Amino acid sequence: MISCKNLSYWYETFEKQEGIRGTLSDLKKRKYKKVEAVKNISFEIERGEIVGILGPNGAGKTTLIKMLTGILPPKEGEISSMGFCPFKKEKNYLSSIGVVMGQKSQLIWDLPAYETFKMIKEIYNISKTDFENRMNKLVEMLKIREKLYVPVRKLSLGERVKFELICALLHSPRILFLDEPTLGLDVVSQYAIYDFLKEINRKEQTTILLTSHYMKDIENLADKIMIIINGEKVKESTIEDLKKEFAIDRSYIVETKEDIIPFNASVCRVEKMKECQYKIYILNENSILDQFDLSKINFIKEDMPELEEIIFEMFSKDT
Amino acid sequence: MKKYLYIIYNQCALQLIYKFDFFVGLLSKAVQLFMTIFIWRAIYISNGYEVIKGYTFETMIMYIIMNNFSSILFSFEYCFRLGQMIRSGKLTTILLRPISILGEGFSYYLGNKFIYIIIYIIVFITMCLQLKGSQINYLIACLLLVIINVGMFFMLLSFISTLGFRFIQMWPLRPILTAFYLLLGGVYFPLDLLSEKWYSIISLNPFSLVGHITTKAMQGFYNTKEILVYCLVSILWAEIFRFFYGRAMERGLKLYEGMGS
Repeated sequence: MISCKNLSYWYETFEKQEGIRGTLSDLKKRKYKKVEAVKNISFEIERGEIVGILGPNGAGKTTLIKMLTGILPPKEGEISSMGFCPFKKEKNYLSSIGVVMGQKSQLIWDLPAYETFKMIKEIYNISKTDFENRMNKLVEMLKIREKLYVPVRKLSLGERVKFELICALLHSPRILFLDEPTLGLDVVSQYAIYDFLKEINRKEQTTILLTSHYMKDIENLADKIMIIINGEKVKESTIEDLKKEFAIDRSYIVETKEDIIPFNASVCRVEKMKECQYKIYILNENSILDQFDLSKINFIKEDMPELEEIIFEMFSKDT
Repeated sequence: MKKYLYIIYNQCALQLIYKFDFFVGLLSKAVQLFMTIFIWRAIYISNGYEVIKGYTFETMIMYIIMNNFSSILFSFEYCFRLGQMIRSGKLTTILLRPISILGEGFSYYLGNKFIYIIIYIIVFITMCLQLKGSQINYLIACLLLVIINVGMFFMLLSFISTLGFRFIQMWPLRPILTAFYLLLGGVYFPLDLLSEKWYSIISLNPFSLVGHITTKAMQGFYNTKEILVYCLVSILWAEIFRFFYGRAMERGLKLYEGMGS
């Protein structure tokens, strides 16, 4: 579906020198410098996958999405998305993608969102029935029907984000690029968005690429994550695999009804966390905990690090 | 085609929202127009002329009114739209749509000028009917010239707007462009008041075609054949601007980084 090979992109930028002297010197000659935003990234995305792109600010996530959507031409490397070269901006390609870029609005500021929707209907040649069905479903799901005819400039940030999402989804795109899609949304709307995205992914096999600073977005949606730091891809795996990799030791948390260990602890190391709660480290792969008395246990769960903790650790280390 | 009509419709709706802008725009043009009329009145009265190079006071005033009105239709705001969109990153939303950038821009331009176009057409028909009531061919030729000029002028604006890829601020260009239009379009005086040598040099420039030539055509100064020649010249200019626009756009899109909030 999407294939990128050795993708690189750099911006040319200049740094303004300090003070009046610096300003005058800049006027005469500016010092330009090359900033590498994406460095030699390769990956493959299959149809129907949901991929989360993670990275700290300025890591190159948005630049990557801009290249995939055809806004930027790669300086080096190749992109093939559904067999198209995105930068050629072929109509068939543009009709098959939907894009939400957190800060770029599709909505017409002084008119109600409904007018933008109708324009999108014409631009993407959506049939009247499909348009009505899809729009009604989306406005109901995001609970913004009563705002449909209110000028966009009168809407709150969250309401605008919801309408932006509808703009990107109206034409049933085959690939959806979401750059910070839940920015400014309340929890209920976030979950409604997750449900909807999962549904279109399941029913229409829509491939979704999303970037977000909310780990919850990624955990709830992504099958696979790609971590980019300083323009380089440092990790590509499933969330499960990443968690396993970052789990220092194989451990479990057990909460008991009484403050005693309800099993034979000779094959493991037990660490008391608090009253009635223990952390058990398995000493080797073949260890078996025996004489487990389930009646004395409230719950037992594998102790995996949270995605947020892993990402924090990775970002802190690499930046 | 329907998508472009819808863009025109949306722009018309926006024009109706900004009533104040519309009326202030008209008022400033009216002040400018009255000043020009007073200057010409003074020239005719103080010199005791009845006719200046074939223009009676009445034809001169009619020329000034028509040409000033044309300058509302053929104005330069559109030049700065692309620059603004580049600076704010808004161009991204248009680039992501399966739509022609030029087609979208033309629809935007027409929608923005919709009210003026309607008024222009009414004034145009009234004037043409008065002057050459029975000559339908002349009327059609005049209309054709106006339509081609709209396209040609739009291509000129589009070409200039591509400078927005290179310059962060485009507004310093505005007074320069306006000055060119006022001078070369014959807004303050008919260009044929200049010496024949100068007139032959500048009469076929794009600003003259949309201003001076079109106004004179509507006043019945030419014959149908002459108007068709001006149509051809206008098409030629449009093609030149289209060629340069295409190249500038192609290069500009490679420079575009989609930055901005």
